[in-house]
Amino acid sequence: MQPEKLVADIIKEQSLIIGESLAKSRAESTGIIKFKSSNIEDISISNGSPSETIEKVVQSYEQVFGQASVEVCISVIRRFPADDVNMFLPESLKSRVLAR
Amino acid sequence: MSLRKVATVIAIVLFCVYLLWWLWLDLTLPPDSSMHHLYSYSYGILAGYGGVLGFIIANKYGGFKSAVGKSLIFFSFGLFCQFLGQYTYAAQSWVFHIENAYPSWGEIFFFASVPSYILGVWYIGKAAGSGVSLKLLKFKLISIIFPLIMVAVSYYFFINGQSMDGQSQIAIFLNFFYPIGEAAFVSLAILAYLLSSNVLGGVMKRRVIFILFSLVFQYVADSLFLYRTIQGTWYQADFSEFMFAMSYALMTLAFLDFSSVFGELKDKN
Repeated sequence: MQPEKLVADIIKEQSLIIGESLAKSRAESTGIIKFKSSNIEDISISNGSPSETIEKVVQSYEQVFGQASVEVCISVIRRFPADDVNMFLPESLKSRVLAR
Repeated sequence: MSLRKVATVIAIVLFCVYLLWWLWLDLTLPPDSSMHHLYSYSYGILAGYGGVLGFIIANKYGGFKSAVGKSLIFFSFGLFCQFLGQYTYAAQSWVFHIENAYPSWGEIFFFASVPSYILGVWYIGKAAGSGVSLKLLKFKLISIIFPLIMVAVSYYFFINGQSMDGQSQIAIFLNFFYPIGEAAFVSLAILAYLLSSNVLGGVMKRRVIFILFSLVFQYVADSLFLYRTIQGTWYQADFSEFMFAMSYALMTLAFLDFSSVFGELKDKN
């Protein structure tokens, strides 16, 4: 699995909470994610390891609703098989994602 | 000056006008003056203004496509219904010279605002993370028991023992609906805060608390209005009506706060 899929799903889920415009804007604020088209799932990741990217994306949403936003991200990550996503996860999230 | 700041200044000026007007009425004129009458039928403009602003701000959050957008739409609709309800009564008074007929067409809008506020609370609670706590049995029980207690308290104070002889079926239904419906939305507002308090943070925390507080304030205003009506001590532009004016201003400022935080988060980009 590509990390883009996981990041795109997190952004999409956040858009259901705060709206597409703000969800995209927060993702772009990381400086790592770019939207290639108006489609919210059409993203590219530059200059960052997958774990750093996911950490920054989660932090950008944490600024909005705090831990509540982080929980939304964790719920998205948990939808994927652990073996597929573990290698992308930062240490700060790993234990919490696994504690189902 | 940005449009948001202009909108905020208008809301504050409107509220100050109604605050000073109410003080002048309360301190200098008898309760049956024509100025009391005019105050009572006009302060709903605060709700109309706030409702329109809320719809515009909800659109920034994606409208019906996001939880925050939906919440703001339902709060705005509820607030706008307060405006429509009040001006329907005003139109009946000014055009048809019917005073305080109950129930009347205006009740359609007051009735609609109750489920609308409930949905507003539901969606803001969802955005704020209430669902995380709801996974625990303790909170599941609290979320069932607390609204039931609030409804029972409302029943005891506002319905129990009231004579409904000679009232139409619609009036009797509304006499039950308002205290129970409002107890439901205020208890859900308090629950939304309690259930999300362990996970809610970030820049939205203050905004969520503010909008829920404005709703609780509106409930207090309505409870005072009901109490005074039951006691026979209510009059036009009394303290309960000033509290309504203040609650509409608070909800309007809460909407504007959501607009302001949207700008902050976008600017951080």
